[in-house]
Parts: sequence; C-alpha cells; structure tokens
Amino acid sequence: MTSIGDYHCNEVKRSWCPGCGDFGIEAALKSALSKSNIEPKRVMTVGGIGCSGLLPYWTKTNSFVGLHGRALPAAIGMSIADPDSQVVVMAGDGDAYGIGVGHLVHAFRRNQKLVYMVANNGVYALTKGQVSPTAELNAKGSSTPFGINMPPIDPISLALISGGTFVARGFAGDIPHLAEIIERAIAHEGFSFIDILQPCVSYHKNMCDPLYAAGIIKLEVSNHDAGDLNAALTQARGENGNRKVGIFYCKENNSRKVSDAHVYAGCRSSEDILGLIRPMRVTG
Amino acid sequence: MNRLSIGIGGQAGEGVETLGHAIANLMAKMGKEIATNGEFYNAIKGSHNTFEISVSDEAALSTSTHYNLVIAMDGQTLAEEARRIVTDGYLIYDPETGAPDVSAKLVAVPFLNIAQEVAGTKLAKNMVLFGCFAAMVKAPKELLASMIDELLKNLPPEVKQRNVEAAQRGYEVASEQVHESFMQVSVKDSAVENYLMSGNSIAALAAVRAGCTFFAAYPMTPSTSILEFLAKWSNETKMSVHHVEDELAAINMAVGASYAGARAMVATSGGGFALMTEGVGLAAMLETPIVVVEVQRPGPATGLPTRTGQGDLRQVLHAGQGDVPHMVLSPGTHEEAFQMVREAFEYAEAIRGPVTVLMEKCLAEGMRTISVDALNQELDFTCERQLSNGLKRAISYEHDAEGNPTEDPQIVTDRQKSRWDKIAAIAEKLPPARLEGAEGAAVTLVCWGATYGAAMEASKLLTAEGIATNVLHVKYFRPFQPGVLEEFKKCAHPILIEGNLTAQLGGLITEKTGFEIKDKILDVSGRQFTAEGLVERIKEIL
Repeated sequence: MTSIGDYHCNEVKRSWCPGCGDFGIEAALKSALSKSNIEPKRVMTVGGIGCSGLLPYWTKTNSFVGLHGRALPAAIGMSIADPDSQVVVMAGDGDAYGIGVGHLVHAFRRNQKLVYMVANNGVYALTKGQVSPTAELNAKGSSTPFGINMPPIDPISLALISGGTFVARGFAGDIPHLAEIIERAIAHEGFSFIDILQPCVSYHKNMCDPLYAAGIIKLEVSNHDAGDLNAALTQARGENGNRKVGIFYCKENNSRKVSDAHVYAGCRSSEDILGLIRPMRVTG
Repeated sequence: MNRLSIGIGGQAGEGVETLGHAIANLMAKMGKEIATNGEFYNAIKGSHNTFEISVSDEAALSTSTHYNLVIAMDGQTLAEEARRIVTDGYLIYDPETGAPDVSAKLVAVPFLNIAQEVAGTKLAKNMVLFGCFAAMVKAPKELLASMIDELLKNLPPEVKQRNVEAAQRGYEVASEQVHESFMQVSVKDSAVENYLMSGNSIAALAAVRAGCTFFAAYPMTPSTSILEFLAKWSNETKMSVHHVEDELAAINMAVGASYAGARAMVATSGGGFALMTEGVGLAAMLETPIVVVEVQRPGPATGLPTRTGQGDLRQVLHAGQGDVPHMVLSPGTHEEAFQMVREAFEYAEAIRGPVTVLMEKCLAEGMRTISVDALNQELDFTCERQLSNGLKRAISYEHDAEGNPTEDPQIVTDRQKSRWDKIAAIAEKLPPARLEGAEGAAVTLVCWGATYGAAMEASKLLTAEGIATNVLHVKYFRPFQPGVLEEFKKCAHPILIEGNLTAQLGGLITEKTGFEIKDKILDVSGRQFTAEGLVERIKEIL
C-alpha cells in the first residue's frame, strides 16, 4: 500500500494563502490515492488555471497544467491514450463552469474514466476577486461592484441532467468525508464529477465562517438513495441544495466502453495501409 | 491529343459530383492520369455547381477553364460552361433543358426521359449520362456495369439493375451520334498499381502510415473528410478517432494524448484553427509533439466555405501569444502531401512541439492518380520519442528544465531560447528550395502550396511559346526553407503567385531574404488557379 507521503512534492514552495480550502482538497486527494493504492507513476494530476490549478505542482505524480478552461479535454485525451493511468483533474469554478463549461456537458456524455474535481467558491481569486459563475445573485465583486444580476449555475443539477454517472459534492473543510468521496470516484468506471465547496480566505470570507460549515448537510445512505436519479435531482433542486454534500448519484453497472491503449507503437508499413484504400485502387 | 478537359454542370443535389467521380474513376481505370476540381456553392440544394476533370497521359497537375466536353445537367450549363468548349469540342445535353447556342458538336440525349422511363426516377439521369460518356470513350460495357454496381453497392439489387439499364440506354443513344472516340484510350492491363485519391484521403492515410494513434476534430469544410476517412478506417487501424464538441477540445485532447505517449493529430480549416491557436502555444510550451492539418478556404469569418484560397499562411505562422516555436509547412502536390504529413509527425517529435501542415481546398478535395510507388517511399528523416522512466511534468507556466515553475529572469530567458534552438536545428534537415523548369529562365514563378500545379503547367506553356519560365516553390515557412535566397539570386524576373490579397509569402520572402518581388498575381476569387489563366496574366505583366 502506498502512503500519503509518496504523493508529496516538497521541492516547490506552495503559494496558496494560509487557510485556503485547496489545502483540504490536496490532503483529501492524497489520502484517497493512498487508500486506493495507486502508485504515483500511474497517476496523472491535471490542473486548470487559477489557485486550485496549482495542485499538480505539489503532487509527486505525473503532472500537467494546461490552459484556462481546457484541463478537461486534455485529461480526456490522456485517459484515452493511457487507460492504465488514473487521471485526476483539479479545476476551478471559472475553468469548469465559466470558460470551459462546454467541455463539461460533453464530458458527462462521453463518460471517459477520470476524476474531475472542481474547487467551487464563487470567486475568481487568482485575478483578485471577481465573481465566478457560482456566485450568488447580487454578489458583489471587483467586476460587478453593484452586484451580479444573473443567478448562479447549479453544477449538480447540470451534471445530473447531462447524463453524469457519478455526481458528488464535497466540502474542503471536511477532509475525511471528501477523501471518502474521492476514493469512491476513483473506483467508479466512468467520468466522476465532484463539486467541492472550497472556502477562499482572501476574497470570499463568508464561506470561511464557522456558521457556513455548520450549515453543510450530508447526504447519507439513511437519507438519500444515490442510485435514484430523480431523488438526486430533488436533493439538488430542493431547499439548501447548494449546501448538500455527499454522493448525489452513482450509476451502478455503468457500462463504459473501455478503449484500447493507444500509445505510439511505431510507424506502419506501406503494406499495412494499402488495404484501407483498396476501394480507391483504379489499376494494378 | 494527350490532354482533355471535361466539365459537368448541374444543380446542387442532382448528382454532379457523383457523375464527376464516376467519370474520373472510369478514365483512371483506363490508365489515364486524372486531376479533378469541384466548384460547389455552399448549399445542399438549388444552386449551379460544376465539376471539372482533366484527363491526360502524363501527370495532371491542375484542371482547365476550357473544356473538350461539357455535360449539361441543367439549362444554366448551356449558358455558362458550354460557352467555354474548345473548337471541335462536344456538348452532351437534354433538348428538354434548352437549345444550345454554341458551335460545339452536339450530342442530344433525352436523359430526363430515359431516367424516368428505365429507372423510374429522374435522379438516375447521372447514370444515363455516365453511360453516354462511356460510349464516347468506347469503354467496355461490362466495365460500366461493374462500376455502377460498385458505386450503388448500398442500394437493393433491383435498383442497381435499373440504374445499369439506364446507363446502357445512355451508352446506346450516344453511340448512335458519336462514331469516333472522344479520346484514345484502352483499358490497360496495367501492372502499375494506381489509386485515385483526394488530398484529404492522402493526409489521413499519411497519418496512419506515420503511426498516429489519436485523432480529434470538429467538422469544418473543407477539412471534414480527413475525420471521416480516419473514423471509417478506425476499426482496422485501431486509431482512437473522435468527433468532439469544438476545436478547443480537439487540440487540447490531442495535447493530452500526446503527453500520455500517443502520436496525435487534429485537422481543421482556418476558422477552427483560429480557435486552436492557444492550444498550439500550449503544445510548444509543454514541449509536446502534435500535428495540425489546416485546410484553407477563403475568409475572414465564415468566408467562402466550399472554395479555395491561401489566406491563412500568416494566421498559422503567427498563431499563439508570445513567441511560439511552431513549425509550418505546405505541400504542392498530392504526392508531396503524403510525404509532408508523415514528415510532420517526425518533425513534431524532433522539435517536441506543434507542426502545422497547410493545405488548400483545391488540393484537399481535388482527386489525382497516385502510384503505389509514391505511397511506398521511405522518409529521409525519422525521430522516435525518448520516453523517460521518471514522472512527467508538463506545466504551461514558464518552468525550469525539471518542469517546475520559475520566474527567474535568466532561467526563463534560457528556456525560451532552448525551445527556439530546436526550430533552428531542424532547419538543417530540410531539403533546400530549388528552381524547377527551364534553365536560365527569363521568368520565375514564385509560389507555395497547391498553386504549384497551375504554376508548373503555366511555366511549360510559356516555355513552349519561347518565354523560358521556371518555378520556385517554397514548402517550409518556419523554419524558412534553406536555399531560397541562393535560388533568388539566379532569377531574372520573379513573379509572385498567391491565393491571397496581401502577398503573405511575398512578405515572408522579403523578411527572410531582403528580396522584394514587384510583380504579383494575387487572386482571392475562391477559385483555383489554372495554367491558361496564369499564362494570360503573366503575359499582361511582361
């Protein structure tokens, strides 16, 4: 079994603010990887752009930081090309629900095996305090000084109606619970989506309030059937839906078509290719 | 006569392209060299489309604007293409569509009635006309029947049979009117293995040959059939082929797949490439090999989706923010497209970054006869990826050699330079540019991409008229092809020919060599250059 320390990279200095929710996500991920016993060299950690996207710097696995909003397609490409590796993405709410939301909807349809974690705090922190697509109606930010006049995206409902096969929410302030969700996500044979409530100590302080943590509602086997899509939608759309954490929906017996390994195995011979164009042959 | 030009005109949806492909195939099977060009409006139904086929004994590089035979499927063809029939040329038409007012030899075929009567649908008129054409070149009737059988292989046997009968009726009607063969041909029992292929099918085949294992694209005319070919072949090739949600996804997926060890390619047209540009920079920054095929159509914006052009050289050269070490090249012929798309994969490994192959609609969709020898050639340069056993770090922020982020002024400068050093190193591997055609020519036609075909044929026509002309075809833009400066020094009177308005190659040549080409033929009509058209314009300059 691997230990949490096996995934730890101490060579690069961390630049998250002290108290940032991203530390909780980092700890939960490493705990889940260790419990799932996946060797670091078989893990590909992918980051988006934003504070959360810096996670691959500090993870001693294969690491990839791409473009803002495009972590997801890059991760899908990796998972297709190397299906033996576990791909884990750490994106922000700008990446996932703003600039890259188009990819998200299609990722649910594609159902490629990987874990997609989204640090959701309603704010763009690395650009210093603009509203994100999950900011509450009338929330003020430096780009919306009079309040945003659009309601927030509801990521869980979006995931459920788009055909998500593993739809969950975690809270960065509850590391053991989040680690459990990530572990279940890793085991899922398909696209695993985890929206993570992630307090930003610098630009969204009310999420850091103890009262906020007290308001988190856990979905458990006793109060929710994660195999029931309609029940999941009711939980997400109901009162305090955006404070609920746990596994909303997990499609069991998920029949995912497993792709072959597609790592480069050398050029083909010309005899190999001529069969493909037989219908185009005109003489000889 | 060793070269003939056939033009087919008709309404969109009438089967102009099907008939054109059938005729091109028939002539190729009879041992001729083929070049085709389709001119289609961006509409599925109801506009006047044309399809041109050049048939010759030696390699055909382009199609013509004058026809030895016109097949008029609609009345508009009588008013347009029929007027460009050469002396002694032929016109096949249906008296029902109108009375032709041209001096060509007329072959009147009531193809609408025949189609209705024999096949039960006017849609079969293209098969009737295919029969007429077969009669004019005295093709064996069995060949005609077997080709239609193959062409309509997805239809029920009785429907196929009725189409064969309709074609045979066309054959008889034309035979009664035309006694001498329109072109001397005989079915060659040829041992030479030839294929009739479009540039897109060649690019797709080249990717398979190069060992590409991952391909993603969003459909965009005129690049779409690369995706279609690769998807169709994927059961056999085991290539992972994806029609994805947009071009942003396509290139980022390809970069991800390449990071994980695949040889990866994407294909698009100018608009899709514009969306991909950030991804091109990403591949360069992450030092991840990828190949992009960009098939040009005229822009800006939606532009002319179904026409040809060369307006994207600068877009591709300058793709991405910052100084992006990105290799850019463009083939002139179908054979070269096969070699250069394969090369692109090797160069991508060598520079560990993005390589874009620029093509044009006229090359991508135009068909040519390709010999098996052209598909059997080996590459002069190959490069395998060095896979490390350690963990892979790929970070889009500036990073040190270990892949860790840094803003150290010296390290970031060194890293930028090291990425460009690889571009400089690959320049030494490139074949130098060379003048082709008449020695000590009075005129040199300077061009890039598929303009080569018409330029080369124009140079032959001019040389035959006593104006010794040669061609300088530039194939590599970054790094800039070696030898251009040396060849320029030998040119008495260079004339630049490009399918754009701003002389995009001309400017690059000036930047790289100090030479400014004064005389320019710049065309943004969306139509491909023809040899005759060029000869006329060159003479105006001279």
